[in-house]
Amino acid sequence: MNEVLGVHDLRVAAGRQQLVRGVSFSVMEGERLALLGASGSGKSLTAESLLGTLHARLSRSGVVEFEGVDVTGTLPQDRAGMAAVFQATATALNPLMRVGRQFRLAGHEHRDAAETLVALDFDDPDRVLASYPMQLSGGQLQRVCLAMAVLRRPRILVADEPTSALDTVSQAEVVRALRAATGPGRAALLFITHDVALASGLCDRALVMHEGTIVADEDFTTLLGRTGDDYVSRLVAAARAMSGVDS
Amino acid sequence: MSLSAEALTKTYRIGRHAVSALDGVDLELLPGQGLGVVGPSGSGKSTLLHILIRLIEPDAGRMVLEDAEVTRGALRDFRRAVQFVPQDPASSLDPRRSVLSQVREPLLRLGVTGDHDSMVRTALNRVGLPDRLIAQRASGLSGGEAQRVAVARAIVTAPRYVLADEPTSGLDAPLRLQVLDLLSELRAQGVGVLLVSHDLSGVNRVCTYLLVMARGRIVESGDLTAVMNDPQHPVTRTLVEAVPRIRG
Repeated sequence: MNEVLGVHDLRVAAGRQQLVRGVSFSVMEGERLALLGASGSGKSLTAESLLGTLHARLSRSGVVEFEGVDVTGTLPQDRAGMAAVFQATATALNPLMRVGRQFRLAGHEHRDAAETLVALDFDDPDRVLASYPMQLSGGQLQRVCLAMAVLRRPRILVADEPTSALDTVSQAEVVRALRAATGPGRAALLFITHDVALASGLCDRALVMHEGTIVADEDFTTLLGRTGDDYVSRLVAAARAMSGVDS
Repeated sequence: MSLSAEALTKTYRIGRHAVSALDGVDLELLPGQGLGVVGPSGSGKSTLLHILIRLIEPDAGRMVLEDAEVTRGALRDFRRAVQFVPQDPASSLDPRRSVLSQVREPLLRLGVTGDHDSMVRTALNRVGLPDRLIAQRASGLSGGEAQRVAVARAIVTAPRYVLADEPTSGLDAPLRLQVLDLLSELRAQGVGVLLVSHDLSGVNRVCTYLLVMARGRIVESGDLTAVMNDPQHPVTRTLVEAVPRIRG
């Protein structure tokens, strides 16, 4: 398996304050990798560094490689093989324009958009395409954003807290759609979340970020078997205590 | 002794359209009870909670607090007895003001007499926050600390009922656990806790009785474990199936 994304000694700082402190990891073709951590741990700054959307007032060092090519410092539009979805779907779509027209403006035919929506679990794609964003639920909006991302045929999809603003039923819908859109033979996935249980049902491997560094990089089975008093073990223990209702 | 609501109804009107948000909801919260209200987005949970804390008025129905009907004009005693923990402490706390001034605010507004500083310290200790945070601005708090300050502000008036709106939304698992265990401790101390959430795993940690809402109505209710193990209504089944489970 080839490496799609390589991150080497990534550092982000705001003035003298180090926010991301030497992060290195790789994502392989078709792999679903979770990036876990609490709010403020540096997950989203890492994602923004990968996508080239880091705020100009933040300083960055380190190297980001996409399919073996150094893309550090290139513009987001020059990273064509990457696509992303974010937490705030309301700001990702134009509220005054029907969804179908937004697909057309992005260069996608009605038929392609409809087929992608069906693949992402929509029963009635024509109704979705004829709707305004405010007529769709949060989970439906996130799957529309995901469809737009998938139609770009990315090699890697970066999903930054795509389920955090959703109720559990919508979260499950979005996770099903992410599973359909990524994996072996399709795009790789970097799933950024603080929800260990949700990620464990979707991803094979996990990175855990804490205070700007990666403190675990291992397969989920190993991660979930951790016991101890370190941050990662406490995160897993808490997730277990919160997971399911019949355990 | 209880906080109860009977036949609460609320309809929102947008232009010529009328949307029924609550359609005849009854509930009763007892001291020391943990009552979970769950339902998908748009089921009426937030409208119910906002009526229960008297942020909005119902179109019809009544509320009774310990044998006295709650009326629009006499809310000071009601607010001392019934307090609220919001969803997002980041927006409910003023980042520029100290923890002391924000936790003390209900005491001032509700005319509670006594040593306010001491009451604030007691509330902060009950939620496990050290005294040293008392002078700190809210902007310097972590997410978990801020949510515990929000709980401290709710309990500083020694309420008999605490109503919480998705109080762990956006927190990571260790912080969620802290906040939920805090609500469980309040229950153990005799406070009635109503927890509104879409997350059954969190409700399961605090509550023993469950109400399931859909389209403004209560569609299923009962002992939480019994409802979870044998959900009858399709909405309840969908909610139970959607709870993420860690494999292994």
